[in-house]
Amino acid sequence: VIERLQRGEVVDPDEEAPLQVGSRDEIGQVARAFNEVHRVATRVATEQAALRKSIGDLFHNLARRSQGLVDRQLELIDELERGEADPNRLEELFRIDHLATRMRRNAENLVVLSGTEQLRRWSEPVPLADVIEAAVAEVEEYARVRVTAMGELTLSGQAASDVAHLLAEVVENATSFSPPSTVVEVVGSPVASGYVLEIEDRGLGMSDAELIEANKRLATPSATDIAVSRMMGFHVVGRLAARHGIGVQLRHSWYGGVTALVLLPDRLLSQATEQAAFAPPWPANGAAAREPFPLAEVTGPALATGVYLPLRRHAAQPSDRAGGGDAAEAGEPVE
Amino acid sequence: MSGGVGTGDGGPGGAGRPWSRRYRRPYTVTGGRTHPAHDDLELETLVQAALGASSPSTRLGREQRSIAALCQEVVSVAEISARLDLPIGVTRVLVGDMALEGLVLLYRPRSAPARSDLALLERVLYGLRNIS
Repeated sequence: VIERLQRGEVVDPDEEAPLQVGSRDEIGQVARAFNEVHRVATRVATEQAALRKSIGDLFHNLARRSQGLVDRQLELIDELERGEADPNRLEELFRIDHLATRMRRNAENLVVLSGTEQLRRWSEPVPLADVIEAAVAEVEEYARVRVTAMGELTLSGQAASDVAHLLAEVVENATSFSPPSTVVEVVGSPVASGYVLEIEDRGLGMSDAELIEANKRLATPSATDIAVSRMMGFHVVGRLAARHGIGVQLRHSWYGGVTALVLLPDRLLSQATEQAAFAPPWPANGAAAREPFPLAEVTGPALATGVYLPLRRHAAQPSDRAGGGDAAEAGEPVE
Repeated sequence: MSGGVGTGDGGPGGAGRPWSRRYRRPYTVTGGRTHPAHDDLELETLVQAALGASSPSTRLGREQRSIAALCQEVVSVAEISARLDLPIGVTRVLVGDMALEGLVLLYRPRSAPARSDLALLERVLYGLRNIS
């Protein structure tokens, strides 16, 4: 009953008495006492659920308002950038633009966490490459992110913003936990059930235990509470992934850091109708030449659940590789 | 993807700005750089794809591939900006990089040194405003 309340369902405390009491002896009294305790517990939980909902609504309204303001601000910045001929002033505008873009991401993430509804939806499909670029733009250290050409896929407009924010969290995590001198690579490859994006960093990586813990958190987004605000990144990813049936999994990277796999399911994707006249062929030295993607692992039975537990690669990746104090730090998600 | 940044704006029905216009940000196109590698990239500088550079390098970004395609004919920096819906400063950085790599040729107006023609530009602007 308590779990149902936490999920936001409506429960009548009087109807949920767990024990039918017929007798008047001691056992009957115990049963009645138990029912009374149950009723009180249910009422408290109901009140808590109402409180949580009103806090969620508060979140939502505040976030919506700042989202609207930042949107207008970005429109103005667009106009200023368009005509700016002075490189120094353009550089400053870019900094303002970047900050505003990250503010919008925060506001929209708050809308996600408030759990009320989806962000504004677009009906037109959006090129996947645009979505990835938008995600990179929302990351603090965007200049360290290298994206390999993405082909001609488009993403459902309904999911575009959510996918961009999900990817932004994953990429942000990769840049925050890898040295500033390294790059974070984003590579895409088609698989049987959709399209997989690999986000690979060259940081210190995580231990096996940390990976399992992180993947668990990604798989089971809980109700929003104070603990969530400390690990907002993972929480947002988990929520957004569950909403669209997107698979997210962290693994050891052979470069020593972490590879995040994001599986965009087929139903979110379509082939771009207008073929770009001057798009080059798929770069031969790009995705194709990389380590072959472990297809069998992704299309396994865990697929239906949306999020997979990590597959440990003991042979290639000794588990003590990321040991020591750094590992604990690397295990903390962003924000 | 054809049409570069303007990709998403085909939808006439959208009351607000299309998704890509809203969420793609110009600073990612150059990794935040705003200073062109070439000094004399003015609005009116003409750009043309270099012969033999018709197969664009895989290292080029989407916008540079679009520029390479546009420059099969001679176009001005200002026109590239407008066609790809990019800020003029971003176009200058992209074209400057491509010129350094020998992918495009630049033709600068041969007349007076750049920037001395403010009066001329103002006259052109004035004329354009009168037309519309």
